[in-house]
Amino acid sequence: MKVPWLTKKSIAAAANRVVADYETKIEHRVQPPVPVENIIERGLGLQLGFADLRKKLNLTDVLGATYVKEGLICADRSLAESQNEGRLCFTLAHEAGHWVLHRDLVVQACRTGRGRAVIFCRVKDARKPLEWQSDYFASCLLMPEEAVKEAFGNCYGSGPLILYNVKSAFNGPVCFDPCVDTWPKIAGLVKEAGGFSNVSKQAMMIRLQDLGLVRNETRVPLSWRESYSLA
Amino acid sequence: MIDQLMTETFGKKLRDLRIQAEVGLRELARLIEKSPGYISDVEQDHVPPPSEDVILKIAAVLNVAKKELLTAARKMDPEISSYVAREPEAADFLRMAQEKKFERKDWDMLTKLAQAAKLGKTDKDDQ
Repeated sequence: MKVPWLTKKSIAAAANRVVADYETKIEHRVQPPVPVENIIERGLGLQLGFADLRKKLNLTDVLGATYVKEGLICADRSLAESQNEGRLCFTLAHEAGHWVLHRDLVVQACRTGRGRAVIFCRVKDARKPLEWQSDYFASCLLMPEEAVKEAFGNCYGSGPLILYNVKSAFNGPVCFDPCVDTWPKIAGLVKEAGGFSNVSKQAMMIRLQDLGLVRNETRVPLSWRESYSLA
Repeated sequence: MIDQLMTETFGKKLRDLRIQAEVGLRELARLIEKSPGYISDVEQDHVPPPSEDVILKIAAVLNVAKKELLTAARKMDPEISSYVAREPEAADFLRMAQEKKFERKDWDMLTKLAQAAKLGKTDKDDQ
């Protein structure tokens, strides 16, 4: 299946439209945490399910699936039972992204016999265009630009936060200097300030960087693995 | 309406009622102390409808008439089952109705007759 290039702007616009349509339906504004399950069921009119995809497909790294013909979005059952709200909601928002951005492609591929009417999402495929586009959609859906900017502004003011150092010079609970190893604290503060309780700190930090609110000038990448111990 | 009742699965009925009640799938699962995976399986008719007790819990959470869900699940209200068990004549009557192949119009007629004859006790009689 050939996936056309989509700009970040067009993906963000698609996510904003989904939220706007849902707001029209429910007749009030959506505030973070963005209710992704309600958006899927009531906004997009799709079925939501939690299936044992890993067992069913015999794949250990599958997180979710979008069944285009059935209008069904599924997350792996383990995500619903793990109490990891951020991971589950991101997966659901990601699948909603496939529905919004890619369902016509899937239908077309099925018609020409070049694909199946289902998209399975695996960790190993994260860098493929189809998956990247849905990840970006999920990020925009769960963390709308204006809401993130407002929360960030309440914590750090209007300018971008530039990380010049790798390690913090301070170790106490009071001192806080922005550097690479304190990124979970930065993301955590913005999350709390904006009420983004259904996104992970990692997802928030990626969004902050994408919006130009945090810039890492150290050439040392932020370590997501460390986030588990620091978050 | 009757045709709809006969063709609509329990899973679809539950899902429609849950969405109408604006209760999320995970929220329902939490409130009735079941796993989201189980509720998902029920809604997609991958497993049979839950037991009567669970259906009554769901009806209470969604604030819908228990009859609606019990009918969709082809299950009997536990209060009715226990009434029939306590009143052997009621069981005999139902047996007769089954043998005579009573249809919906027969039950409608019987209901009207019972009301006209003022059979049974009213709340007033109990006071």
